[in-house]
Amino acid sequence: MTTDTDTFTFERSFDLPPEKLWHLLTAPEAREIWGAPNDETVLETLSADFTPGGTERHRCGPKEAPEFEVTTRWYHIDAPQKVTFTEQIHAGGTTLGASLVTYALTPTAKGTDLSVVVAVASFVGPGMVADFRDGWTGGLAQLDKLVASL
Amino acid sequence: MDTDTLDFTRTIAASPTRVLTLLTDSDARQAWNSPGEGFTVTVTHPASAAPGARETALVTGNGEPDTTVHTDWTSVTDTLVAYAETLEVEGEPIAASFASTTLEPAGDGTQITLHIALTSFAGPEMLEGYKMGCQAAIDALAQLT
Repeated sequence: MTTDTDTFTFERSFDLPPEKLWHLLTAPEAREIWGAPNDETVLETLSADFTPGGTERHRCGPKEAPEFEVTTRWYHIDAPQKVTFTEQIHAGGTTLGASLVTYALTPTAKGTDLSVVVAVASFVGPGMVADFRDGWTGGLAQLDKLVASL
Repeated sequence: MDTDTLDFTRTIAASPTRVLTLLTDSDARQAWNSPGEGFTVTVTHPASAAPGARETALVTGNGEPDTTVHTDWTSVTDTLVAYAETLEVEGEPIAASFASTTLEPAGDGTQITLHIALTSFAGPEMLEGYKMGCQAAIDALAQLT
């Protein structure tokens, strides 16, 4: 077997101070709102421990049957500037892939610039890499909507 | 943001079963997983390579600051070894990475393909240092057999 890998970088500018954006990015209840890629899917928190070395577990997928489990492990937390974590996606007892994710928040005159780097390794073929990309693209679009509604 | 990805491919003169042991056994990793000549790796908290387990090692030598390396195993099968690593100096994280290594039979040996995604918290110089350390370690692994 081989792993399929890729790295995606997303850039955003928000009219929010870093502290408020940091809360949206890291608080479990906020992540549940924007973390699912569209309105037909859901992200449910099963456990949360936002500390260096701490792990979180989520269930995600279609609202009627969220079939994926996500394990997040936090490695570096430097509020409200930078956070690094890994995410593993499991389904049916199989680990489908994993990613190393870093958020960097930079204060600006209007609010905060956000950079998100997602380095992905799929263990089940290139389709999972595309799924990671689609998931992040959709999730950040949901974050845009959430911020616009504040 | 200081991030990078590294890719290595090596053919090792040992069976996939033997290579899997070298990649996951604490004693074996202590022997080859060093960032270069003059460094010593001491596994201070061994752990079986099972998802969720954490192994901790201390890297010393060459007048460099002592570095603590936490290895968090995420997936280990006959053909895949995946883990995250966090490097700390004096309790402060300086880098985090996620590595996935695949194993495939290649003649009498095993081809390994290693992909590492890396984030530095200590500037871009750390990326280069990490890359050199990985290169030295994987060369040592290939020579160990």
